[in-house]
Amino acid sequence: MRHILLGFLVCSLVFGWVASSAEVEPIRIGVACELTGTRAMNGIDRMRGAQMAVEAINQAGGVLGRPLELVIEDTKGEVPTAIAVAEKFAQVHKVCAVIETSFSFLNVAVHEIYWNAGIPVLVGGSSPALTKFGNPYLFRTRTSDTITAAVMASFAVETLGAKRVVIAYIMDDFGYGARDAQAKVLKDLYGIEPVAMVGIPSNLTDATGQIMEIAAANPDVVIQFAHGWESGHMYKSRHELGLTKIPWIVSQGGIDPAAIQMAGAEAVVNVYSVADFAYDEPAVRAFRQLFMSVWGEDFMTHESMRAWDLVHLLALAIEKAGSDDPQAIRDALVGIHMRGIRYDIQVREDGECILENKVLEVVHGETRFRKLVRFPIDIKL
Amino acid sequence: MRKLWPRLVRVQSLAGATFGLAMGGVVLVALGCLVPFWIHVDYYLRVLVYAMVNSVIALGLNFAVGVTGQINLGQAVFVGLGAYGSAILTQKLSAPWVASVGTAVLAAGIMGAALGWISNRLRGPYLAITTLAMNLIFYLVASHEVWLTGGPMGIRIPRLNVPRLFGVELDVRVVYYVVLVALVALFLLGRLIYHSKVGRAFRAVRDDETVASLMGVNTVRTKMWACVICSFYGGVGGVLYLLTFRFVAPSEFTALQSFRYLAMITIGGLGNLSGSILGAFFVTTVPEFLRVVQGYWDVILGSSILLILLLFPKGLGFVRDYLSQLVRKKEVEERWTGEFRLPRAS
Amino acid sequence: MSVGYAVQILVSSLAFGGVYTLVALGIVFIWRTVNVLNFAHGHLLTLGVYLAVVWLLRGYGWPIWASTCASLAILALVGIVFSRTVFERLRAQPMLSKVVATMGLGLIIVNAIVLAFGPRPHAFTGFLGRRMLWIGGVGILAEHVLAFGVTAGLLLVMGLVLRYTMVGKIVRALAYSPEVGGLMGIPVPRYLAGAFAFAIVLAGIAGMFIVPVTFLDFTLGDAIGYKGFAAVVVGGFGSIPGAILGGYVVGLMEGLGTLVVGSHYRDAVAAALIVVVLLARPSGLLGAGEEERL
Repeated sequence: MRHILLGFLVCSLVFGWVASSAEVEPIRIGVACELTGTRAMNGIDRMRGAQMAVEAINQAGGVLGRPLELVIEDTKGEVPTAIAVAEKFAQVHKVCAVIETSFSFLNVAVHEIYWNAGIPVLVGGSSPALTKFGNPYLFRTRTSDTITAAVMASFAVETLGAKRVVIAYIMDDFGYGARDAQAKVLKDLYGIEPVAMVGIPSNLTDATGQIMEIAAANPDVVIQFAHGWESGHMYKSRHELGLTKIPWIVSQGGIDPAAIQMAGAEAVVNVYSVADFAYDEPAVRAFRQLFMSVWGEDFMTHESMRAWDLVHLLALAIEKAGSDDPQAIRDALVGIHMRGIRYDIQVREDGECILENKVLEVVHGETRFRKLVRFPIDIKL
Repeated sequence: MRKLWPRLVRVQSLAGATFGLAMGGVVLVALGCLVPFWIHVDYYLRVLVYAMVNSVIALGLNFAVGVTGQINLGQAVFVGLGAYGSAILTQKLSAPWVASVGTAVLAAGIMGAALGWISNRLRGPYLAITTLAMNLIFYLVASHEVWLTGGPMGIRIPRLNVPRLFGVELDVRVVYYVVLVALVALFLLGRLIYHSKVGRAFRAVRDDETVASLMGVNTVRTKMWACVICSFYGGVGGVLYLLTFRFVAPSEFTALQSFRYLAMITIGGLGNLSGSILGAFFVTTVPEFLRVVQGYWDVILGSSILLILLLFPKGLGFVRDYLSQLVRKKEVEERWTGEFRLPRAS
Repeated sequence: MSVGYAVQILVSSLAFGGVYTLVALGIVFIWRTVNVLNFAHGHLLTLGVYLAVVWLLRGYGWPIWASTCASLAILALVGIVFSRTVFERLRAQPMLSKVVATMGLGLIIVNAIVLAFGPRPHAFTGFLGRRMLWIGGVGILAEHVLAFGVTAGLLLVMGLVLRYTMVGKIVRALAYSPEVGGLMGIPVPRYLAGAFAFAIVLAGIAGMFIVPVTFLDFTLGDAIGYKGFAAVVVGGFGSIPGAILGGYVVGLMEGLGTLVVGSHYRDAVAAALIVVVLLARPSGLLGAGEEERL
């Protein structure tokens, strides 16, 4: 009995091998996803977006007459696993390119493995340090924090004509970092010192004190870095104290639907944000519809759109290179200009791909696209 | 030759092993030395190295928890001190590697001594919660004090700063041997301690502190030593971790990670040194080599811990005892009284 | 900083403190009866809120009161099953085995939540939404008043039951010594399972009041369980009045700590409290040594 089973196993393996080699060999792209652990939201979205894109490309005939194939590995969002996954992509799966996570520290941990292996890697971390390692195979496919801060500053000063800026920040590592970066950009670009910096304690239950402190500084514009809960309270107190005439530029947490829901949509007026996407952009709307029809639920993060764009970008690069050789793909990537869902992707030699960010306005509790701020290619990053 | 035989056996029994077991160990180590010639893909090798690093850490934890009975839910702190200490000293202060590693391990040891001092004031649940609090504080400091630790971005060792051993760059193949040598040495050291007078004092304190002190064991010093050994192994493990991955970030030194170390020694068997290595290999390599289960791994880990606790309450490391129990029941029971406290009459 | 602001912080700290008290009480209860540190406590709390809010309320449109009751019933069932299968078999093992078992349970719960409900965080505005009560010009969230009231009521009922009923006497006897209780003819395993289930239900109630403030996220259990342990330690390990006091002390210290050291070390306040109390007064504020019982 055992022999028969064993024979069956061997036969099926051999036939499977013969059958697969008879077909056209697929082009393999690695996607590192954090499918479990505390960061799972991002990884699951990335996986889904990439799967949708591959499905779409393969239905249209694939690339160079060959189908694309995704190799998806779970990094758990942890350093040892992420490093193991990177090595597995490079040495075991031998993929031709890799789409990596958007957590900067994981990008830092793995980038040298791809450098040694000579495989192009598309990272999503926004830390300015990433493109300064001199890794020729690393491409950053998200807006750098420096540019986001610059976009906020330019919108505040050039568009809204602000002279007196207040920075309100949540008192945690995110808030302190963002506050300092913003203050530096304001000073470097426009020579403006903030008239006041107001700390917001996390999990506060009433923001009257903070709003009164802000009102005392008499600002033209308030730039606020906070998470959802605190932003909700800030909106509420701002509305109650009648400060809604002052434009408020908020970070991503401020346009969290839960925050807007907390304060009520009527309180969130004259609020702007600089973020990856707005739900009313036509491309985003179309993608969202497609995503819902495929997966039956809304996406959780912007990662799904990033992965969709990146698979298409890689398809373009492979087409341009004429082969799936990693080095050829890397060389072909540089100079590609592609219109993605969220951004114009323009791959530069130094690894920066996106030099723009968007200003959104909250209208009736939803984000509306207002303005695209692009930076000239020669900006000093 | 005939005279040498008994002497060899005696040397072996110093480390508490029968001759057959020792030979088995030698064969295993020899096989371990050959692995890099057989595996040509760095990825597989690095997973093995990581498993060995975790074995070192679990060995130390077993000394505090399994052998001496002092619950420690913060082993990741010692690992973090070893890893962060050497990373900060070499990268931010450009100190030489040998001195940095020594200082980092020493720092971990001092922290361990402090814990040992605390463990003399606090028992059981208090100690467990204190170590947990220690772990949280370490994590918060590592992620918020950016000037020192690099914050959430961690510290990376660039390729140029990687240390060299006798002129050879420490790539994963060399690190493999470094870690293997460290593991074997620390394992043998562990066995020596376990079977020495100090080791007997450890077990006496675990089984009953009052009786131990009546028998003349200095319980204060004994617990201190257990914690120092635990933190020393943890610190060395941290240094080896840094050499293996060349990167430290706060997210690797959380309470969850400490729990994983505990899981390793529980799976392997509390108080069983070779079991710790078994447990470390199980927890580290299974999710990596069984990637089909990737989304379900943590559920599987949790369930397998519960199952092992229910089916083999003493851990897989004692599987030999279970097997021989089937054959010779009485002898094994005698052995167990030495290994474990008798079940409380209920 | 106005007086009103200080009063608001005081009230919200008291509401938080009440929630921590419920968590801490559950931990003490389990420690005194089953003799284990329950590291799955926070995770069981998270599970309860997920069942009530995401599964029954959002998924099936049940009214919030009904879904809360149903989720508490499920939590009790989980507690009974776990106690009868795992704790029963591990009773003769050292405490560490039981501790690791609860940690394993926590790991399973967290990942089962992710597998079943996805990693998406949820907002839940509580039983009363964002309604405010204005007392003397100071606005207080009605939800906080409700949390405070429910906590106080539960404590009162529990105290009466423990002191004046047969069940209370049996539980007290078991807390004194399960062995002796067994000799007295008490069906020990059944009562231990009941005590465990009751403690988890307390956590489930606490969860329903904490989530409106923190957002519902599958990692919630770590932080909350931790605050519960801090409260237990501050009050004196194993002391029930101590746990009540400890919960409020931790809540207040966090409120004050947020004002003084900034909120980025907010979670460290509880950790620092643990270390300081254990070093300065290991028996806690109200713990009077080992003889002190329920």
